[in-house]
Amino acid sequence: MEPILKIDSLKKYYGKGDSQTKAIDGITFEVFPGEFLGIMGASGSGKSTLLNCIAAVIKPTSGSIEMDGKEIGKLSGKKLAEYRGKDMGYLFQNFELIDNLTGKENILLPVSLHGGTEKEGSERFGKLTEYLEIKDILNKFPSQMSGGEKQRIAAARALILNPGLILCDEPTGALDSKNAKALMTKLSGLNNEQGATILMVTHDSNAASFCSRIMFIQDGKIFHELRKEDGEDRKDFYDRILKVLAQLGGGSSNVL
Amino acid sequence: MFFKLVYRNSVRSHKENALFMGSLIISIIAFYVVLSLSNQDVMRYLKTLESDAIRKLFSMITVLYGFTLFIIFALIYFASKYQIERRSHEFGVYIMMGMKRMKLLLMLLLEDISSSVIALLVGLPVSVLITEVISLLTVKAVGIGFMGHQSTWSLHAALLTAAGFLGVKILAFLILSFNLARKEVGTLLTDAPDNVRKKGYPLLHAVVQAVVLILGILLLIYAYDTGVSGTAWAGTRELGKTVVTGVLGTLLVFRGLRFVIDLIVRLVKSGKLHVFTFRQIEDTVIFKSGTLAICSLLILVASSCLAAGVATFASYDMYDKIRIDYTFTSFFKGDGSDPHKQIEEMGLAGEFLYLGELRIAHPYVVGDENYDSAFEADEYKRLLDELDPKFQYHNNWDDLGGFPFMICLSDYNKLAVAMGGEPLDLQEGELGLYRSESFAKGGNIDNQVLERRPRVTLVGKEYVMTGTVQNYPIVTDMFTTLSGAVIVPDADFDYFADGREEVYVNGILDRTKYTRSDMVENYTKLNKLFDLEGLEYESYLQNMGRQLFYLVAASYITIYLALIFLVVANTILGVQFLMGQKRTSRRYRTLVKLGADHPTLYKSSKKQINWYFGLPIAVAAASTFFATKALFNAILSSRTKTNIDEMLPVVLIVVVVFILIECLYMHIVKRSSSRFLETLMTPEREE
Ligand SMILES: Nc1ncnc2c1ncn2[C@@H]1O[C@H](COP(=O)(O)OP(=O)(O)O)[C@@H](O)[C@H]1O
Ligand SMILES: [Mg+2]
Repeated sequence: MEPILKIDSLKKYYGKGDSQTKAIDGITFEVFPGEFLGIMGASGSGKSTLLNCIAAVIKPTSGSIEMDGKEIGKLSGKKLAEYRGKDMGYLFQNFELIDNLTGKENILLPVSLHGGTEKEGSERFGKLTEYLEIKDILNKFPSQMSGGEKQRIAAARALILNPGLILCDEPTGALDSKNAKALMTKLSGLNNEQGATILMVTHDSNAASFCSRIMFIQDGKIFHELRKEDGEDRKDFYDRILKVLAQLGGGSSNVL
Repeated sequence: MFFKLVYRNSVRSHKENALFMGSLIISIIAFYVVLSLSNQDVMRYLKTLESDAIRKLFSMITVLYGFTLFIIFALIYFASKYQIERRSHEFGVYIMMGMKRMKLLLMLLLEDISSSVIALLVGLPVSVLITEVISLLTVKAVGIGFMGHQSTWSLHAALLTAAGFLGVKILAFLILSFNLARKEVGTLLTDAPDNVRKKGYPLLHAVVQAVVLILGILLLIYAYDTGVSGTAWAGTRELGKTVVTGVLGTLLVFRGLRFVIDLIVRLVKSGKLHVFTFRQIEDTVIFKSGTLAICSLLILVASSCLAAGVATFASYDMYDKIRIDYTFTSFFKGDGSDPHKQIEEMGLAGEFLYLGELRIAHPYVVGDENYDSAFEADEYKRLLDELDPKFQYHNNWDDLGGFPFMICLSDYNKLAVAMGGEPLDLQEGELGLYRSESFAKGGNIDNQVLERRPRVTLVGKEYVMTGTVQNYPIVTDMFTTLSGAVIVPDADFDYFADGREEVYVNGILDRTKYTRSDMVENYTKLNKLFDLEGLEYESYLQNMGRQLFYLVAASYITIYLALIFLVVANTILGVQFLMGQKRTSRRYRTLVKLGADHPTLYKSSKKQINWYFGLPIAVAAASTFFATKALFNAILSSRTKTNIDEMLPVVLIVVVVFILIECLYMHIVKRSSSRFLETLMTPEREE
């Protein structure tokens, strides 16, 4: 099977000379269609930078990112905007809903930005809102919604154009554990039932345990990788994640 | 290091903020134009004619200067407020980095001073240039080129300009920096919209808003109707009613506008970011409807002032109008002097197209005890009451009183014919009615009364009044003319006057003897000759000077006010928009994260700006249409009123100037907005 996303020796350095930060320092990996890949790491380890590079929001210092066979460093103008909006769905920690648009209008923003046929849009809109259980709040403004509702609206927005890859940056970061679990159930359901490919950054082990594979990064480098075994219980996977994290914590304190 | 920062910041902010710099420079021009008014060639000329007028002008300038200070303060305050808010994040960072607040304020003060100095260095020369051009243009328009041009430059005006400008600027700075000093670092660092919607838009709201909108439109229609039909001018109460309904209507229309915008959001479904764009516009209509309405009213006042000022000026053409050029002063018959003969002896009779006596007198034949009831016109007054039950037009009837002036019929007719009119035909036992032009406004009512031939008595003798109301000027000076009089056939006039009539000799100059451009010179030359001869006279020149003074002053002030109001309204709109955009930058950042590029955001922003300016302008334009109609009816004299079509080019010019100014402002705001959006394109670093 061809990978949907190929990342090769990616580097991103901030600043120059003494004050240089190597936010990403040579990362190589692939994501395959239908995968639910988690990326974990301590704060400042370069997770957001990696995601932003993939989303083409920032330019990497070196290395390549290939999406569906397209080298995204070579995209520009309209193609680039289209790549960001159509090939990619983005779920943010702070939801990034526009506060003066209703839920429905927020969900349909990508359609209005990047086009897509009305009919296709409305069919998908119906299915998504049904699945995410947000039909009742479509006409509310974000200030009238709970955190969980906001994130489900944001999820619908990320999925409305049926993107090849969904990027999530700490999607449960601003949710309580009950809402976090509900959201993760929905996300993994999308992954299992509709084959959505998801790349999720998190430092919440509970959320990570929904993934099928997890990469741990530290100081801009891949440090370890875990893969959920066939038929493995989520609880068991969760325990394994905790073990790696303990190692990661120990490792870094040894270095210091 | 610190000064370098100040320097860099101020250079950068001039580049970034054309709106701010533009407002500063316009303020300076406004101050200077007012203060150097008395140095204009027209004003210098008027000084030679009317020293009285100049005194009035000076008192007017003080008032205008005060008013300008006030308006300019509002302008600078708004512009600086935006300037500071735009940079609040930067200030927050300075404070976080450990800069003391006092030092930050000092930095701002230094920046402020440097921008003021630059504004003065640019603004003063531009103001001088502008006043020179205005001076030259008015001289040309008025036809006093022989005066020779003198520079309008005045050190006094320049110093006062600088003082006023700096004073206003420092006051604005103090208020703003006081507010800034009290702000938390956190609020400096983050942008948040002023208002967040907490509720949806239930049907009930929509219905209420539709009702409000309709109510507003109805009020506006009422105001337009009273203005155009003329009832608004009947008295202060009526005028007050029109103004209040107009203002209220405008406020309500903007309140109810959400209904329309919401419909557009729902019904129109095309265009990139269509929904977002209109939700943004809707936000303004919800949270800023008052500001929009006030700006709309300011634009209305500005455009009405502009139209009125330009029209007053354009209606001025002293050359073409046939008028009495000289009145040789009154004397009682038999005192020996005869100006008519003297002029003939001087060999100047050829200069005149018409030279003739006009006799007026009170009915002196009455014994002293009857002065108050020599003229009884109860029937006339009764008819007047019947035809005009609201007493709108006949409060001036009493001026005729019981002891009116009489005008000799044949004298008046000769004058009327000379001025291109029809003679008044009176039979034995008939009287005519004379009203000066300014008192003849409600003339229709008088004419209707005269049609019914009311019976009156003059010193016990019965007459009927008939004919149409007469209003040719009977002397050259429109300020000493009679407001009302009765016109009496010659035989009766002679009898009642009892040999005590006043005689005026009126002269109309032969137009073929001089041209438009040396009209004033011609007067000056003749005046010298008459002075030498010891004649007592009034020439039209004084009258013209006075008229010219009022005219020039009125058009200057109205046009000036128009521009000031326009600048203030546009600055408020522009600043409000840009501040609003800054505060809602979160929304734009989200759009960027969803893959919106700069052209897309810019397009949405442009559309918002078009609406933001367009809504108040559209409402103001509708109101201006009716307001100028009403104003023209009210200000232009009955003679010029017939030429209202000739005003069309004037109105057109005003409209074009207006559109240009608005486009310029919108362009500036769009550019600022574009640059601001540019800064949102790169991802911000989350801490
Ligand atoms: N715009 C930037 N300029 C300079 N340094 C940055 C910038 N963005 C992130 N960094 C640095 O890069 C490193 C990785 O940051 P980030 O990707 O946000 O980490 P994470 O999301 O894992 O917490 C951090 O040390 C951070 O300080
Ligand atoms: Mg992060």
